[in-house]
Amino acid sequence: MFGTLNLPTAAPLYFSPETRFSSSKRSVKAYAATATEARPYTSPATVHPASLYEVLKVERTASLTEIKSAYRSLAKMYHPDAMIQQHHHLQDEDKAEIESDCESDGRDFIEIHNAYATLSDPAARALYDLSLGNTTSQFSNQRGPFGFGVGFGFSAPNRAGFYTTRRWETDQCW
Amino acid sequence: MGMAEPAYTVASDSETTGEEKSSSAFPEIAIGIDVGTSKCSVAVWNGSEVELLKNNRNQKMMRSYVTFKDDIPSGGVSNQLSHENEMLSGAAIFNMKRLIGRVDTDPVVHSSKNLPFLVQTLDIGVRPFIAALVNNVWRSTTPEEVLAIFLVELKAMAEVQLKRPIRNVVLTIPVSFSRFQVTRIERACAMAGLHVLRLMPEPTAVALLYAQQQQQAVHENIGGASEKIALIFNMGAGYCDIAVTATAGGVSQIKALAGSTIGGEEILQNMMRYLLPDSEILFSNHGINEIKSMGLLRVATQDAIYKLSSQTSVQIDVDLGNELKICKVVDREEFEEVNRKVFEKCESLIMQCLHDAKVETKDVADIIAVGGCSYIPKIRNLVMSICKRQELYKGMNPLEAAVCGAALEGAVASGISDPFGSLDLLTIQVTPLAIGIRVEENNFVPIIPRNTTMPTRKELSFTTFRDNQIEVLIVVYEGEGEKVGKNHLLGYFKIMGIPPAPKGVPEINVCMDIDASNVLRVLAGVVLPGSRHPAIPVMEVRMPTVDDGHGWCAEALDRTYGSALDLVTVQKKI
Repeated sequence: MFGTLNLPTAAPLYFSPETRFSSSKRSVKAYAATATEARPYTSPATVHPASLYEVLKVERTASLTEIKSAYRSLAKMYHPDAMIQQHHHLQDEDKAEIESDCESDGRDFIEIHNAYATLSDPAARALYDLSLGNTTSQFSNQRGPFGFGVGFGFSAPNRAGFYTTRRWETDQCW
Repeated sequence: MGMAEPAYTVASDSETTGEEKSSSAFPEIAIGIDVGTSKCSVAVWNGSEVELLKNNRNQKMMRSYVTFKDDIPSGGVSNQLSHENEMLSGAAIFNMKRLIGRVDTDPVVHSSKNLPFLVQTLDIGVRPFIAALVNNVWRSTTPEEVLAIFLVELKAMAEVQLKRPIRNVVLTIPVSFSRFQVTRIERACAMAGLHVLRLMPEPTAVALLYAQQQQQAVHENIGGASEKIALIFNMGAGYCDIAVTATAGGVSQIKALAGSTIGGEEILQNMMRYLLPDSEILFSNHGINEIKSMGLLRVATQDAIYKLSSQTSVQIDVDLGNELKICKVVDREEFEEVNRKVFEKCESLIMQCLHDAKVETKDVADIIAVGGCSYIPKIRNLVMSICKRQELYKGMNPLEAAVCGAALEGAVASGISDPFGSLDLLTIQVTPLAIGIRVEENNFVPIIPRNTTMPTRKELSFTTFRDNQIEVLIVVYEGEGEKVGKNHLLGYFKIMGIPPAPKGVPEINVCMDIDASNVLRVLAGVVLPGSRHPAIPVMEVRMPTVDDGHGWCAEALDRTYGSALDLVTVQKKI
C-alpha cells in the first residue's frame, strides 16, 4: 500500500471517526513493519492491526487516569524529544538501532497520541468500543484501505529521503 | 525540534569545527535565551540546577537594544551608557521582537512609527525601512541585523563565563509568531553563529519549569503524583501568551496555546496618547528635537506605569522641550480605563485558551502569571478572577521563569541526564496556529487545526473549481481567520498536468506534515476516480517558502490568476 495514494473509490474523503480509527492503525503498523526492522516498539507480531488499547498497553477496562498515565510513560519513551536522551544513554552498538528509530520522526508517537486522543475522550471511546465489539474484522475495513491519517501513503516509506536538516534558506546571504 | 541536525554553516564560525568529535562523547549543553521585547536573559543548566548568567555590570536582565554610533554598533549586554539617554538621540534601535518578520502593512509596524528611531512604511506589503540616526544620517538596518548584533554580545558574554564556545541555543518565541517570523529569528541566530536547537513558545518554557518543580515536589513527598493542570499567563512588553498544561511525572503536555501582540508596549503607547493626545502627529517628522521629546515622554510614561503597580496615583512632571510640558496626576482607575481594551483582550485570550484546552476553571490547580506585565495589579486580578482564585502560584520569579524553562529544555534537548532525575522531563507541544490552504472565494480551510499535538500529519481532499481545469494553485496560510487575507502567507505552488475532467471529479489531496523538528511539509497529489495511483507525481514542498516581500505575493497571485486555478473543498459525505 505504499507509494500510492490510497483513496477510496466512492467513500468519505474526510476524517470520520471510523476511518481515523482504522486507517491510521493499518498504515502505521504496516509502515513500521516494513520500513524499519529493528524497532523495539512494533514487533512483527503487531503487523496485524492492534486495538488502541494495545497501542497504549492498557486493559479494555482501564480508567481515565490509567490511560493518561500510560500515555505519559509511552510518550517518555517514544516522543522524538525523549529519544534524544535515550540515545545519549546508550552504548555505541545500540546507537544505530535508535538512530534508525529517530528517522521515524515520531510516527510511533503520533500513533500513541491518536490512541490517547480517542480513549481519553469518553464519547469517542464509547464509539470506538462499539466498533470493537461489532465485528471481528473491524480493522480490515471492507471499503478498502483509506490510508488517511498518520501513515497516509503519500510518502511514508520515503521519509528517509526527506532532508533531515532544517531550513537551509537561513544560510543564504543576508 | 530535531535531533542530531547538522549545524548551520556560518563562515565566521570556525572555533567549533575541531570539537565536533569530542562533543559527541560529552554533549555540549545548549543555553537558554529569552529575547524579550524590552529585556533579555540567558540561563544554562550548570550540572545541578539552572543558573542565570550576569553581564559585567552584574545584571541578569539586559535591555534588548542596539546603539549605532560611529562604526561599531553596540548592544545592551555590554553597553555602559543608560538606555534612557541613548533613546533620546535616535541612535538606539529596540523592540526588534515586535518588528521582526513583519511587512509594512502590519498594524504592529504602524504602531512602531512613534518610537524614537525611524520606522518608515510604504504600505505595500514589503519590509519596513528601519534606521538609526548616526551623526545626522539615518543609517538603515533590519530587525534581523539588530537581533543578531545583540545575540553576538550575549554569545560572547556566555562564552567568557562558561569558558567554552557556545553554539546551541534554545530560544523562546511568542505564541503568535508566524512560521515566517520563526525563519527570521533563525536567520538572526545563524548570523550570530548560533544553532537553534529548539524554539519554544514562551509559556511552554514556563510550563516545563513548572513540570520540573512538580516533579521535585513529588520526589520530596510534598505533592501527589497525580496530574496537575496549570494556566500560564505570560505578558511582557511585546506579546501576551497563554498556555494550559497538564503535568505529571515530568511530562508537560500542552493542552492549548493562545497569543496576541498586546503587551506593555501597547499599554505604554495608550498612556502616551492619553498624556499627549496628538503625540503621533507631533512626532511624525522625526526631527532631532522630536526624537528627544518622544524619548522623554516615553521614559516618563514608563516610569509612571511602573509606579502605578505599587501606588494608587502618580505625579507626571516632564518638560518635552519645544514649550511642551506635561504636568499631571494619573490614578490607577484612569490607567485601567485608558487600557481597558488591552485588559479585555487578555481576558478573552484566557477564556479562549481554557475553552480550547477543554478545561474547566475548577480543574486548574495552579495559575502562573509571569512576564513584566504580571506586576500590574489589574492583570493579576483579572487572571485570578477568571479562574475564581484568591492567589497566584508563588514558586517562580516572573521575569526569570521563561529563560529557566528554556535552559532546562536546552539541557534535555542536548541529551543531558541528571542523577537525581531533575532532567527527566518532556514537553509535548502543540501547533499555536492553524495551517491550511486557500479555496474558492478566498476562504481559508485549516488542514492542521490550532492546538494539534506535534509531530503530526493531517490530510484533506479537495477538487477542481472548473471543468477541465488542468492546473490548481495551492496557497498555504497560517492563522485563524476565515478568509485568507487575515492569515499569514507561508507559500504557494502549482499542480500542473491534471487530466481534463468535469469539475469536482479529480481528487486533490493535500497533506500537511509537521515532523519532530517542527519542519512543515505540504504534499499534494491528484487521483482520478477508479484509480488508486496518483495521476501525476506528488508535489512535496517545505514551507515557508515566502521571502521578505511576501505581503505582495498574495495580491499578485490574485491579480494574475483570479479564481482560475482555485480549489474547492469536497463536501463531507458522512
